[in-house]
Amino acid sequence: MEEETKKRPVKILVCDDDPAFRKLVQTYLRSADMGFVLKEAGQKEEIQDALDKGGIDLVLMDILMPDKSGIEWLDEIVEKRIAPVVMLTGFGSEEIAVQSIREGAIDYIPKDHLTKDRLLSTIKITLETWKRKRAEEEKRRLMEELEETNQKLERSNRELQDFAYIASHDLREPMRKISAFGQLLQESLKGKLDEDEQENLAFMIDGANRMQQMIDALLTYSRVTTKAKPAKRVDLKEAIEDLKNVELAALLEETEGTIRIQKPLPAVQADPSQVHQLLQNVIANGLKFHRDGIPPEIAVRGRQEKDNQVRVEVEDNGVGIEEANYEKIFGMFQRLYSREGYKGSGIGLAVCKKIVERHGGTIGVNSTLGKGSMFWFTMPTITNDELRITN
Amino acid sequence: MKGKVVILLVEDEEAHAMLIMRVLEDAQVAKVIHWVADGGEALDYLFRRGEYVDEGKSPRPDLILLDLRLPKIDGLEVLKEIKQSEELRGIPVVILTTSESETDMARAYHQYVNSYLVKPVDFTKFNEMISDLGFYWLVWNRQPGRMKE
Amino acid sequence: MEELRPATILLVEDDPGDQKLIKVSLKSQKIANELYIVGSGEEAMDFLYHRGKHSAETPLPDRILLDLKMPGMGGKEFLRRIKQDEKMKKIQVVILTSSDSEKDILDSYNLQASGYIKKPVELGDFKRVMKEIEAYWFIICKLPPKEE
Repeated sequence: MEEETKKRPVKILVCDDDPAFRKLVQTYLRSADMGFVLKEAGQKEEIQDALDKGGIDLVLMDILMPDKSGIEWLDEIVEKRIAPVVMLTGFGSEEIAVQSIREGAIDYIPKDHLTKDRLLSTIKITLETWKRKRAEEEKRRLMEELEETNQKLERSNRELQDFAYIASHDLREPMRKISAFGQLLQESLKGKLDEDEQENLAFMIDGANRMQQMIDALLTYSRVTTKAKPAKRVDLKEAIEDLKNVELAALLEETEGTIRIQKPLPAVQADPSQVHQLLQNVIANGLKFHRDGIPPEIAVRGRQEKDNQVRVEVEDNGVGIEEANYEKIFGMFQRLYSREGYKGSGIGLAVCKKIVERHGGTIGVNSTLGKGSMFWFTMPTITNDELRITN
Repeated sequence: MKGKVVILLVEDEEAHAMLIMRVLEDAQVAKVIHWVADGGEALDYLFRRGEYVDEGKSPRPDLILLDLRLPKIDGLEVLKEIKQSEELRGIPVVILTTSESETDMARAYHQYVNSYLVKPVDFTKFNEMISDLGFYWLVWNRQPGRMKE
Repeated sequence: MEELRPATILLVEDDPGDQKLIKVSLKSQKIANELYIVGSGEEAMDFLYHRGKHSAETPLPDRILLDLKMPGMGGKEFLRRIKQDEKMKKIQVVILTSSDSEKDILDSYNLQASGYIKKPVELGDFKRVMKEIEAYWFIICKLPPKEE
């Protein structure tokens, strides 16, 4: 505060209808030699004028003022946040003094106890309190603003997700009709169309089918957030065994691939069906992109990391990915290979990324072209409480 | 996402039960088939009572194959309890019986049986029916809770 | 199996495209059936209770194939009503819808639907599933004896 007083003189408004008292205050402040600038006001109009002009740093306000009471002035000054107010109280007005504090005065000084030291220390404390209060108010305002912005963001995010879900859901039906009736037409026109016409029809149907797949993929993607379920303990080994037996069974057979789990896998705390989907997509990716004539071998490892995360690595011996594409493969509808060569929705890894990030983890890949890739991701570990319950 | 497919088979005749299980396993539609031989045990299993208190011992079935003439508690009674339970109502119940009695059929429909099948006497036809029914209910039909929890 | 009588099917489906696809798929099977098509829950009620333009003598269907999402009275409301009717409740209702939401599946069974089939997206699968529905519901599951 002292620094501040050197920079700019502190302007104090003394409101009292007693000129002798104003004089006393002036004397005290001058003798302090702290560069206070004093503005005196005895009448209602003078006070109003001084407040309107502004630049007041502190108000000393007598409680007993003619025309408009000190409490009324206090209310106005507090309401408009003009400056901190110190009330000057007369003998026997303790009650009003307490009331004034309730209504926003920073402090009060009984007139009959006014000494130079008391005045100076009250001013010092009042200015500091005011500064702190203003800072807190500002902070609160910023927090509220931030909260509001967050809510707005969340709302528009949700709207966007809902839109994606509804759009993809409702678009599926008409697409299904285009594809189905296209195929019916193709059947009934068999042998009646020339080669060129047949090809045109085939392109149309193929386009409709692809569109359908993309819509389905979008739906899957938007479901990661719209259909999320609460986190539970998920045994990764069990999940992988299930995948081997059910969802990945056909792909394993087709590619003659194998999945090996190295050492026990730690459990994670996550949405179980999403963990399933995550592992399925990452492993399926490894199985699909195998090198010609080399059956895919997938190795899964996992370890407990610090900061309550589990790191899982899924390594394959497939075609590998160029470093320039490490980021790209996690994008929507990104494919590095032609549709003919490798089937898929082009969304599997984007879904993985969304699932992992929704759980507060990260996902990435390291790869050597022509040798294989190692996909890794982190997921929250189970808390000790959970461990105790499940064990 | 489909998990392990579970069938609860309630059948008091061991020979029939063995046959049904073999056909379903051959058709590769079910991974787990639990066989219980009377109505009381079926209800214990479904409501997780007695020796089935442990959830691990009584996974929720995706399909219930139910004989009508059962010891202890009758098939229709079992059906009634299933369809009155909000928890279990969503599991399709297929009555598999030798009874061609119209009263039985009417009673079963009255208790909202999902379907009523009469076991053919002919062995080949019986095999075919079991395999078709397993395929229909577990591949084409949808039931709640087939998503992995 | 024993002598098969033609099955009477009531299809409740508002989408003309799906009406046609289902009709075409059922026709391509060898199974004899009589297919009646109505476009809404209300019309289906009229059909069952011989009201309005269905006041003429229409047979009680053996099975109902029911879409869920329809304007006006939806499939669930229709299902709820007929399962409360002592005479109608024995008719087996198979839900045939494009929805595979858990809620729709659960609601349908809670309302005592006999089965729930999601309309497959691919035409080939669509035909296949219709064939399976026919085989299962009209051949394997015996039709109740014709009466009333």
